[in-house]
Amino acid sequence: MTSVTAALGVLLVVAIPTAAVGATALGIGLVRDRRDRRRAERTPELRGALLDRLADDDPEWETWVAELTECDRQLVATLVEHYCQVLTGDDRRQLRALGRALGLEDRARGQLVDGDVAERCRALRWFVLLGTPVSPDLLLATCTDDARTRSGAARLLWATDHPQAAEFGTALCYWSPAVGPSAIDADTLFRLNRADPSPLVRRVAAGGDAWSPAVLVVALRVFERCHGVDGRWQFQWVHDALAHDDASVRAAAVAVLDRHGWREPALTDVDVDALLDDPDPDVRRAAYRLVAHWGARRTLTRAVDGVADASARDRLELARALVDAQRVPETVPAPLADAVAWARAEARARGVPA
Amino acid sequence: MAEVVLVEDDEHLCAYLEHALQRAGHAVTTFSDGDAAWTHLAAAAEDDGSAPDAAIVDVMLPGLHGFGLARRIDDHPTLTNVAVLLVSARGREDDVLTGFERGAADYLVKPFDGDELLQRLQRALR
Repeated sequence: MTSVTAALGVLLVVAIPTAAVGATALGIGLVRDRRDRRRAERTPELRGALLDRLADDDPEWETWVAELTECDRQLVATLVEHYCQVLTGDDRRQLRALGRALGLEDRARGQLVDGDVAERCRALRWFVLLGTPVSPDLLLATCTDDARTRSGAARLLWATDHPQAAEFGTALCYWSPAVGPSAIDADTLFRLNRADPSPLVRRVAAGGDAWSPAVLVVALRVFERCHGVDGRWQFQWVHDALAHDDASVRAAAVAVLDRHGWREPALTDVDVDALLDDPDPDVRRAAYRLVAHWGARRTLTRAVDGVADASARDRLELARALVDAQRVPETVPAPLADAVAWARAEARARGVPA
Repeated sequence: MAEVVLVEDDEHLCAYLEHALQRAGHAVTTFSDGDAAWTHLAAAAEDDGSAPDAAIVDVMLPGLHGFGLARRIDDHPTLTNVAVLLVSARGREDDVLTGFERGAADYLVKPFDGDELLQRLQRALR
């Protein structure tokens, strides 16, 4: 009897809380379901009203917003967020005005100053969508403690076309030598430095010695794609990177010289022969492309003769580079001739004349 | 006024484009996936030889994607005069070239200007 009583007691201790939790979860689920259904029903009506006003010369957003419930305003904010991502031009300008009428800018400003990391990221995203400029001083005061907010702040400076966006944005992306730029940062760095990579080069000069190979490679890949490279001083760090201990840095540096090889300072004083003899295959492959594109006749001959005794893979990589650059010499040593034939067949398969 | 088939799986963007096209005086039929749009276009073409004047097609669609739909429209003898405008977030040069290679009359990259889309549609309809 005692054991039956004990079992019942245990059952009650377990069953009652379980039932309570289950009932609560069910209740929350039902409330959410009802809310979601109401939103789904209400959204087309609000969207129609928004699109009608968007087409008007004077949408009178303040008047419309004043008529909306708090729930409606949240739904309209969701629409503004969505449309700001896919539209530009006059409609986007009007949507930004609607965002301001909804108080989204003021709310974001408050979140930027007082919010946690997630709220500040959300605020930065709203500023980007609404095209709201924020001063670098405020961003430096509120966003430097976390890589995600630094990333968002750099993106905002670019998106709002701040006059000092490149300088501050690049500094934010490379704020911490311990945390390298993310993939999004690399894209932001490119957009900030595309026309003039001087801020990136100055940043490398100021702290690049302490950067990990992965962080340096990001900087090299960004620099590789920049347009406004205009002086020898901008290539000095790339030349230094050719002697880096890490092969991925050396290969990325060679790729930079390949992309910018037509600029006079890029290859000045570069020992291309040493690159062709690099112990790492990725560096040699990049060097073959560099030589095929920009090598003088002597360097080209040196590369062709050099692979005669190298691996079959080296011969194929050089052959591919020569075929792609359409710089295959009239006569090539026998071991390279087979590789050239193979590379030409590959090029024809890609639809490239070879 | 032109008859325009609109194929866009983004509900809000579809509503925006439908609204803009209707305000510009066009008759619009919407679809949210490529297969349904193709079924409609092919059936109309087979039944009575009718064809819309233009199709505005998102590239990234569930089922038959925009490039595939553009190719089928271009290859169909009754639909070959339909002006296809592709719309996509994919703005790389090879994406755009693929669009033209599949028979598109124009290619717009998101985000885009609604007024510009209407102007490009007008040009494609000439």
